Order: sequence, then structure tokens, then C-alpha cells
Amino acid sequence: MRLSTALTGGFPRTRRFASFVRKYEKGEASREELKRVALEQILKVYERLAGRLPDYITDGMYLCDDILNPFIRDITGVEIGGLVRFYENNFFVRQPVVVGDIRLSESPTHTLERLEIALRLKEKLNREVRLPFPGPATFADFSLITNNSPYSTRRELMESYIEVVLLPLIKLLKAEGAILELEDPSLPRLSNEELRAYVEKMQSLSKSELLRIHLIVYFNGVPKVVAERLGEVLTLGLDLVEAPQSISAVLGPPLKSIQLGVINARTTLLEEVKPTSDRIKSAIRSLAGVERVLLSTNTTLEFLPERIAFKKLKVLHDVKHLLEEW
Amino acid sequence: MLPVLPTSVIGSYPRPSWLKKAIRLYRLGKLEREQLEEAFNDAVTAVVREQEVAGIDIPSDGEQRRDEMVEYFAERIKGFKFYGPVRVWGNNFFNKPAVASRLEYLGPIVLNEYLFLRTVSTRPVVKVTITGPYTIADWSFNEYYSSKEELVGGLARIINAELRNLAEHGANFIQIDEPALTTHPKEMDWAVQLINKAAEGISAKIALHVCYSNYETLMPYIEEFTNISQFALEFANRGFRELDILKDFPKELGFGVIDVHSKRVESPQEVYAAIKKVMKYVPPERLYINPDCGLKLLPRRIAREKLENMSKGVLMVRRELARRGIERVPFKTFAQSL
Repeated sequence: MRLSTALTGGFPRTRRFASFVRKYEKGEASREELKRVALEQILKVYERLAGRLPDYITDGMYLCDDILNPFIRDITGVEIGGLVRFYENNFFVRQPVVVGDIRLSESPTHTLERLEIALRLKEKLNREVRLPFPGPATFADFSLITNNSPYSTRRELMESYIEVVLLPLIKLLKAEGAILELEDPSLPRLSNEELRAYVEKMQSLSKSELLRIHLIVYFNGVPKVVAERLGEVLTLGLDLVEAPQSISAVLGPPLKSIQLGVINARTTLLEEVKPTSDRIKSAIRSLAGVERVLLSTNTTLEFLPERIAFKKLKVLHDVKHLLEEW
Repeated sequence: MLPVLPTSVIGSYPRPSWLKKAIRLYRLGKLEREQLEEAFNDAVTAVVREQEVAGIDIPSDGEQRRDEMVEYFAERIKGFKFYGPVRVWGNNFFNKPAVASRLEYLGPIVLNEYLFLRTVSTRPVVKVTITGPYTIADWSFNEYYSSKEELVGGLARIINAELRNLAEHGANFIQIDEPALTTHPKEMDWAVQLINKAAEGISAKIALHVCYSNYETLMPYIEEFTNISQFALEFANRGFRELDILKDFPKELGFGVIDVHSKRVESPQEVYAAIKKVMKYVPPERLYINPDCGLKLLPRRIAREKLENMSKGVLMVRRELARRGIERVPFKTFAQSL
């Protein structure tokens, strides 16, 4: 069994970058400059982590306002709506307003910008790079479906998202060697019927495409049907901090790769290394046959101040180090 | 008495650019505290005047002295510490506090703000805003209390002491800001009781501002807020959908008609139409008109224009109401409404 660490979602924007974004928003800097500073700043963050840099990194989501925006600007048929709360956090995301047939734009500018940053990071840091995007359930759950759109239900929208947004997106990332990190915390909110449709539609992707997907569910447990029918191919991410019961969903199904969210990214209290590694050992013992375990925070580090985010990644590294001696 | 459909603000208003500069200079050690205070006072004078010229009946001090609604209170209550900014939306951050030890009231937090506001406003009623105990707790990291309920209880006692101070000094309209209130539906039962504790024994009119929230979660509790007279709610951001939840609304409503997260200035006609819509559910005698939330993130010119158009839209409705003989409404404090 291979043990790795992974960054999930974004990393808190540095003060320098946040201040540069303000400059950009005022029209005092160009898009090219913004991209350059985004890369420079996230690179600095990762360089600061040095030996504690996770094995899997992301673009830090520095060019993103949230998991939905600006990605939804790359989807035709979707307009940008008002702010809505992201689960029970003091964090708000832009609501996708579905006004027509959705599909990934032929030239998805924002996605290409992020991919460019991700590839530069991959090249410079010699790490696997994941790009976080909204999962189908989360996209559909947060969307406002207007009367002008052809979708009458969340299920229809979700199915279409998998077919005409996710599929071209995964092809694009796969061609460049990046992994698609699908953040899908709304997955447990789906009805049984919606879950069945979700799984069936995801199964229509090829095995090589599914292999490049890390499906991360946080705040709640992973539905068992997802683990049973998709867990054998894609990497499934569980939140063992806020939904420790989610481990039961993966006991039994033959999993090859799993992510365990073991560090709480919503509290400033730091985990102790030994008890955390003990909990992981216990989880791993119950996962027979799993070939790869990624250790991560339960959700994005963006809920934390930057200095605590660094400390959390240090704990994560130390936990892995202790487990390697096991 | 106030004109029917009294216009107000939720609280914050963009800081003048020169105030931002003064704050920067102060932080760099290039300005004395006394000079900064003078700048704050001048800014309050300016923005109160701006609100009044825009037609606002009940102005606030624009929260000119506050960087952020939770941070400001946490800095003035013993027991908090800070690790750095955390993102709230887009590129907007706040210095999210952490509760590191038992919380203690150190003395007046916003009393001086109120006293100064009273000296510069020409209006008979002014609004003082204070962040509620539930939101302070929800937007903080809890490193000390054994439960969130215990933490909110501690904060409710502190906020109550502050409200008593304000009321004793003549504040007659205080708004408790609780944007986080409906975030955890399972906590609503005790949260409502603790907000009542925070507002207990206060003679002033107390409004509760809840925004960007699930109002379906809030509505069943409205009557349980025994010490709250008015609810200031956000409706422009949600495109005035969900107005039907206001059917049989039993309290005063501060109706949000201006989207504070959009730079597009609403027309007076849009405001007029929104008010006409809400009047199908809430009678004009129990309606106050305000933006959805604080205006601080908007450019100052846009904020002013939004308030001007809000007032113009209100005037259009007032003219119609005058024909029905409805022109003025009494301003009732909590004690007077009993």
C-alpha cells in the first residue's frame, strides 16, 4: 500500500496576492499580470513548505473566488447569480443561474488559465497536480434552474453536467496529465433516485477517464452506492473528521485508491500527531486490498488563516512520517 | 412619528477615501490616535449627512470606525485572539477571531459611536448596530468553551450589558446583526433563546438583521423572539423570490430592496415595484425600507446613488399611500409597543 499526502481544494490567498487582486479589480493590473502573480505567490507558499509539501498539490485555486466561480463562466447556458452560503460556513459562493442548455465552452478561458498554472507547478515542483472543480451533485444543488432552461429537475441538470461539462473537462485535463479533483459535498444530499442516476451517468465515462478523477466528499458521509459502484476505479475522498461514519460506506467494496480526510480544516486547534495516526491505522486496517491511501485535510484549507493552514500541513506531514515507520 | 415606510440603512457605509488613507497612515505610525479619531468623527459627520441628503429617515454612523463586524467586537472583548484573515467571499476577507480563554466584558464597545452619531444627525431616530452573540460565536474559532451554546451564552451576557448601556444613554433603535443565525438549523432552538437573553430588559426598539440566510428556517421562530420588534431581511439579492414566506408576518419588517453586492444602481421604479409586491404580505404601517445589508463594499458614489433611488422609490409609494390617508407611522420603542 502506498501512502501519500494531498492538498484538497485551495490554499488561503497570501496577503500579497489578495492585495494584487484588489488592484486587478480596480483595473490597475492586467489579466496576464494577475496570472503571473498568482503563480508566483502559490509557488512561494509551496516552496515555504519545502519537505512538507504534499505529494499531490493543487493550483491553490488562487484564480477562483470559490469552487463554482469562475468555472461557471466557462459553461454556456449559465449566468452568475447572487451570493449563497456554502453549507454552514461563513463563506459565500456565486449561484449558477441556469438559463439554457449547458455545455463546457469551446474555449474555457478560466479553466485554461488554471490549467496553465497547474502545469507550471507540476513542472517546477515535480508533484502530481489536481485541479478542483465542482462535482455534479454540488453544481446542480447550488444552481438556480430558471423557466428558460430545458431542465425541470436537479437530476436532469446533474446528468447533463456529467455528459457535456465534466466529460470534455476530464478529456482536457487528462490530455495535459492533470487530475480532476471533483469536490462534491452535496452528494449525500441526493435522493436515492438521483444517486442511481449519478452513478449510472458517471459509469458512462471510460475507465481511463474515471481513473483521473478524485471524487472528494466532505462535511457528510459518502453514500454506499457510490463507493460500491465507482470506488473500484476512481479515487474516493472521505471526511473522517466530520463524518467518521463514512468509513462504513467503503468497508466491503473493492477499492484501489482512497483519500482520508483526517485533519480538520475548520478549526484552529491543531491535531496531535500520534492519536491522529492511530485513527488512520485503524481505518487502514479495515480497508482490505486498497493500493493507495492519500492523507489530507477533510476539506479546503481556505476556511483557515494562512499561518494555521501551514501548521495543519505540517501536522499532516508528521502524521504520514509516523505512519511510514509503522 | 415617522413618515410611512421609514427609510433606513443596515449599518455600514463606504469609508471616504481620505479616511482609508488616514487609517493607513495611523497603522504606519505616521498619524496620532487623536488625529485618527478626528478623521473618524469627520467621516461619520460626512456619511450621516450623505445618508440624510439621500433621503434616509433613520441613518447610522456608517460603522466608519469598524473594519469588520465580528472583528471589531472581538477586539474589545477579553478572551479573543487573532491568527489572520479568512476569506468570506470573492476577494473579501475578515480577521476571524479565536476564543482562547473565558470571555469578559471590558466596558462599552459602541456607546461612544452612538453618542457621537446623536450629535451629528438631524433625524429624531438613529440606528445603532451591534453584532449578535450567535454570529460572533459562529464566525469565531472556539478553542476554549466546551460547547458552542456555552460560548453564545457568554457572549449574550456581554451583548446584553452593552445594550443596557446604550439604552440608558438614550439609544432608542438598536439593531442586532445575526447573519449567521439560520446556518445550523439544529441550533435554532437555543440560539433564539440566547438572542432573547441578549435583548432582555432593553426598552429601545430592537431589530434583528438576518441576511443571506434560509428564511424558511427562520420563519417558524419569529414569534419566539419575544424581545425583538423588527426583522431586517434581505430580498433584493434573491430577486424578491420567497416573499410568500412573509404571509401573516407578525412583526415589523425592514425590507431589503437594494442589492449591496452589485454595482448596478436599482431604479426608483424597481424599488417601487418591490415595495408594492411586499405590501401584499405586510401592511405599510409595519414596513421599514432598507438595503439588503451594509453598503461598505460598494464604491461610495454607487452607495449614495442606491440610497437616493431607494428613497425616490419609497416616495412613489408614499404618494399612493397618502391618497389612502396613510402618511405617518408612530415610532415605537420595545417598551412602548408592549
